[in-house]
Amino acid sequence: MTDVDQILRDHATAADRAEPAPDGWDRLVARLEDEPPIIVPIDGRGAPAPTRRPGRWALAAAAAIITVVVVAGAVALSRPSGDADDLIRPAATTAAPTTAAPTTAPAPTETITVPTTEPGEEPYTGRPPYDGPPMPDRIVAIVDHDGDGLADLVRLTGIGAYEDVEGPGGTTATGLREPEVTMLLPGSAVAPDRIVTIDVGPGELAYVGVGDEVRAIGVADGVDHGPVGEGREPAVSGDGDVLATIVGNDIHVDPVGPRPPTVYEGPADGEVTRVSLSPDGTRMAREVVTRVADGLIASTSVEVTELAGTGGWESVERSSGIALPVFIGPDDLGVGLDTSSGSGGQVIAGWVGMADLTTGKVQASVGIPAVDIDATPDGGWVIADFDGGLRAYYAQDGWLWDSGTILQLDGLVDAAW
Amino acid sequence: MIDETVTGSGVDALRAAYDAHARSLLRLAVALTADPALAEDLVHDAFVRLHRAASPPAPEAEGAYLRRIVTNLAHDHHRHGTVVRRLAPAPGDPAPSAELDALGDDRARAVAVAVAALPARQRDCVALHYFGGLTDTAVAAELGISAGSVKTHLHRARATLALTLEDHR
Repeated sequence: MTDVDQILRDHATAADRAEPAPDGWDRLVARLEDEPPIIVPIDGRGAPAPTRRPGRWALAAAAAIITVVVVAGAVALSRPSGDADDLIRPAATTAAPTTAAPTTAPAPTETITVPTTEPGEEPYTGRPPYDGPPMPDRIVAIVDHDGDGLADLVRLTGIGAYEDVEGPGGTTATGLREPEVTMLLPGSAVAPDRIVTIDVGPGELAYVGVGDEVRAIGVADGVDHGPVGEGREPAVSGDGDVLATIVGNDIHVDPVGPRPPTVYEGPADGEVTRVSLSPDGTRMAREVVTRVADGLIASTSVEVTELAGTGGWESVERSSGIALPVFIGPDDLGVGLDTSSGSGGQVIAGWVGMADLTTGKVQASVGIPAVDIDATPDGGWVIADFDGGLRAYYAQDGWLWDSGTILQLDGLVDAAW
Repeated sequence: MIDETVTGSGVDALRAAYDAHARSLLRLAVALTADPALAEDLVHDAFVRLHRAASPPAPEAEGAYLRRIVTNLAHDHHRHGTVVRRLAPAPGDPAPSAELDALGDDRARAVAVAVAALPARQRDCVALHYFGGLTDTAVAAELGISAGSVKTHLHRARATLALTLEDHR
């Protein structure tokens, strides 16, 4: 042991020779000048540059992590889903070796044809009148808000698009509102553990994956109710009665309370990476990823089980890859389709779609490189995370209807509403 | 648009902090990452965050603040790196990188890599104690844990390193 101590001391002495590069300071200054300091204004609408003076920062704080962009169609509740500019396709897939023919999604036209070779799907030809609940204007996100390198839990109020009917030349301008940001749980408060995932249940209660445990945090008041379970990737049912987490490769279903968890063992040949519970807490879906020898994602699959059943899992079939399950209703599952492997190892879907668990139909709605999907507890609204931005959809008639981008965040880790 | 503080009084304060801490932070970052080029990037990241901090620390606390950021950023690098390494094609050539060559002889390289491969908390304790020159008590204060925990982490780290560095003793 002593000689290890000496080796380290010797190495520290040797490392003491390390010197910053002679041009290090100049490069640092150049970087400060070149890099937009967190905020990227648009349309000349200003975001104050953050400084080290607290007073000025306080003015910028609410907007500090928000990158505001103009989003054509952001208020497009009346615009047909699947316009050509929705087609942001990811790089070529590495996923899902399969014996079935690969799906090729044609560019949608105004008549939206389900882009698939799957049987049993029919084209949708128009957007029905919307009769559901209004889109929430509050979201909970995990992002480094205070700039200390640790992801924080924040509440964003006032999200969504605005429409300025008095735009230049009598035009109608659209853009994103600047939400109010409220810190709920700073990353520094839980370090060295990290705030990594979140799901929001009823009663304004967020279930937050912090390291290997789940904490309940009040969304409205920021009250930390402490650990409520172990594991990661928490999912809570829409009624708030059931909590599921991933522990190792198993899923633990803990009735929120003192009873022992029910353990659903993971598959021997796959990695359980996500879980979702139905609004009434009777069904559970899981995402399973398999990897080839060098670690690349080989395939993704989505499976569903009845919590009161025998524990068997039924696969939701999709030849081109399916992932990112999130329950929208008791029989409807939001999913990502045309899955591929991201450079960081995460699953990327080429499309957001919907699976009808009663009929087995799986239908793509909007092309977008989604890395996560979340739904409101009542399943009325769905968000897809894509490259730091959030796009909203409402669920109606077995279909997800695109409502445009509602928020863009630098360094977004996870989001839920 | 140039951040006005880069050309105003803010730059003077940043320059003072850079002169005071860049060298020790670089040592710490090298210890945490075993990669001098990456270490310099992390140090720059730390100064950028200091410059743009919502609540900048008092000058006497800047060193601890910067060390914390470097440690946090190194954690993120390791977490991301784990995924990247897991997904990367199997290495065909185990030859050391040019960056590691810059660390010097084989033993120095082996020590740097072994320290960087330690579990996060052990790595933090080793880096701050040996490379940051902090006492156990100071390490404990910096990491927000007890001095007893620091001793435990250091003990476990040395036990791991004793096995890892068997050929270099």
